[in-house]
Amino acid sequence: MVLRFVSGNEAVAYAVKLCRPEVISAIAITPASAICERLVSLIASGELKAKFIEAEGEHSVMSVLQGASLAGCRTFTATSGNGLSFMNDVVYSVPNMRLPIVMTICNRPLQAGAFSFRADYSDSMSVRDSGWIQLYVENNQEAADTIIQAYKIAEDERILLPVMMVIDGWFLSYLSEPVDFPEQDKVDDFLPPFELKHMSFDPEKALYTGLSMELFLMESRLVYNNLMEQAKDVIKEVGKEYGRRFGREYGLIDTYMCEDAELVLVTMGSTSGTAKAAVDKERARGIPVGVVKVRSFRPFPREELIKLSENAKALVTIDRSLSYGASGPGQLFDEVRSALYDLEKRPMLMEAFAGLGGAEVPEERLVDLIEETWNAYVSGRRLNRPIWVGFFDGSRNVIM
Amino acid sequence: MSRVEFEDVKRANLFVPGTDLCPGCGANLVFRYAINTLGKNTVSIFAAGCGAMLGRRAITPGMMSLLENPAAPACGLKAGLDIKGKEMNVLCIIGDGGTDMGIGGVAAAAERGDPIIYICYDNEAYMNTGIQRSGRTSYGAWTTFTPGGKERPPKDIPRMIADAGAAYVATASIAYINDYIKKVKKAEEVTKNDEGMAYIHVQSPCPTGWRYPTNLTVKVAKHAVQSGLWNLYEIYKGKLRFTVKMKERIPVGEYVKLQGRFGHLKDEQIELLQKYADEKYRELELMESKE
Amino acid sequence: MGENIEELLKKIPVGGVSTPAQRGLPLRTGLWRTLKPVIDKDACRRCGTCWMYCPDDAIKKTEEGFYEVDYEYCKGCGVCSEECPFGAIKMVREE
Repeated sequence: MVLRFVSGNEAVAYAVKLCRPEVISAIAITPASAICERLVSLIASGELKAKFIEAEGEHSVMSVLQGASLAGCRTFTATSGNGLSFMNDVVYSVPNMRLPIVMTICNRPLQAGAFSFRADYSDSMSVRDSGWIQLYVENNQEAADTIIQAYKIAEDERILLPVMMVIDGWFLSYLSEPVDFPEQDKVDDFLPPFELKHMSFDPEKALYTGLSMELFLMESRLVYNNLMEQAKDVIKEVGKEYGRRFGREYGLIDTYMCEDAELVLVTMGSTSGTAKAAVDKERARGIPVGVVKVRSFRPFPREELIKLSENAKALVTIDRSLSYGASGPGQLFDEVRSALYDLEKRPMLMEAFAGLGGAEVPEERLVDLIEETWNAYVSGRRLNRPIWVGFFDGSRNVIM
Repeated sequence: MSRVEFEDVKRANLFVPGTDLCPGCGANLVFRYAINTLGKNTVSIFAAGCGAMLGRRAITPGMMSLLENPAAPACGLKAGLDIKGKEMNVLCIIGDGGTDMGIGGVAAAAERGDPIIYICYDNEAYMNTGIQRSGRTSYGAWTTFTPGGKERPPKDIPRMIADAGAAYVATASIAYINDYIKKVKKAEEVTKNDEGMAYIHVQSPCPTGWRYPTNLTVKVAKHAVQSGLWNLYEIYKGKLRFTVKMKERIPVGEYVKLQGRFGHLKDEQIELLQKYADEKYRELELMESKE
Repeated sequence: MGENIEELLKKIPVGGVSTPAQRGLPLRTGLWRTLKPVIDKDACRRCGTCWMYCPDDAIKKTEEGFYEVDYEYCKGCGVCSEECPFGAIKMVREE
């Protein structure tokens, strides 16, 4: 194990290097630029043997990777916010060709509202329907580990879908933490070289790939959804194997103090870490609260949340993005509510927003959140409007 | 290039009849001679549009790219094939619509020097979607988006790509097949030597969009070159050279009167078109005479 | 019934890839014609212009060096007739 003190961007870069990508393409965009900068310097120093193609826009970046992946190469890129929306067309066409491209998204706000370069999930949420697997990470260690697992998941022959590893922009991408990297030979053992089997440009075969017209219009969509459902098993398998080999196990979700929790916070990304600290504080005061971190947003861990609801009596989702005008309107809230709707005994479900637009999530405000939702649960009066955490410079929570 | 070599190219059977394209379509000839010249070890990339009809029926390997950026997957594919040790030509057969939409990507490929062969078949509009104007539509031409005739001259895409840094740029016409084959061979040589991107812009008349009877496709293409509205040259190592030069150009009116899309043009407009052709021709002559 | 549907779903090609057979080659475009080219062998000087300019590659060279139209694919566009320098190709109404 190699221990380094690295920022989130560097953690991703070193983890990508361990996976031996063959073609990398990128356009710089804050806060993701440093990832490919570091990879390019590793290529220049000879530590990484890969071809870097500097494209002129994110649309070209993903198109270049599409071509390289079809040729059978392992590929990588990183982008954020507007970069992701610039490559939107190609992002939707990559799963159609079943290409196991791995991309890192350093979140930043994409939708209407005040702007910052810090984490807001509106960018990765905007492509949640595309057929990409989405894995959200809590800290830099998870980022490094998840990159290595992402290739294994994407290249699994049962799946062959691209994977998006989502890391909070600024709060994780620029934050430095100690990260434990596995050794190269152990990663090589875990991740054999990639081989694309369903497409080749062999002149004898004369295969043609592109849109498949008019055949199996409805059936093909069932196939893709089935692939996503099967990805749940693959993500768990790969996470378990990673645990066996490298000592840290991963799954679709991660729970913290949920065994005896009556109130559970449902979080994604770096908020999970802050939530765990707030939970510690409230546990000291005797409140039975826990955290469930949703790691895989696509495919969504419906079954795991249903199982959790056997014990948890109240759930509070903390969304870092919203869909203007939606039922939730938070996307995580909508997913959770939809997953739990059919249960005979549904837990009390409340909604909170924290970190929208890249706002900071102060621990004290999450403590307040636990207080507010615990009181609501105990009194039986569900808060039927969202709790906006950290309004007015993080000074208070507002329920409206 | 000897006559025997030309015959070989013309005899190679990598293009099959039975495409979905209109009778009399020039794009067929563009792909036919490109693939026969480059040979079996070629991956062809087509974009949505008339080219996709070629790709669907091809008997050589290929892929369909998105319309708005056809050059980028070609670059990634070429890099990937090189890494995997597969020596193949990467050929893009893209219309003027796709090239115009993705001009950023094409120029970037030229600037980066990716060794791909990019052939633009120019039917001067977005034909497959129903004859809508593109950046290459001629001044005065009728299209569904310019029903009164286009009011401004077209972009000079070959010169734009040459200025962006392509290693080899050539213009061609389906009426001058031997010249076109020579240029495809030169493009193959340039990319095999890793000198950079090769770009060939072939004018390919469209009976459906230009409104003329299907048997006149080659005649229309010939008149375009003979009038100087379309010139055949190549730009290599900073030098421009005419590859086919008319001793005397015919008036632009001869070209215009064959086509229904120019049917509404008044005399002043034809004169303007003539002026445009004359200026372009003079400009190219000047560039050719420069050291 | 469930197992049959699973089997059917497996038939869907992976990643939009198609083999030549799956692309439905060849397309008999000869059925499109209203006019067809007829080559007069006596007038033909074997220059090969029709063969060169046929947009559909539907004119084939015979062993004696003459040219014949492949009526399976000829779309009847008439370019060969227009370009023949010796007027050896006439367009005739299809029956």
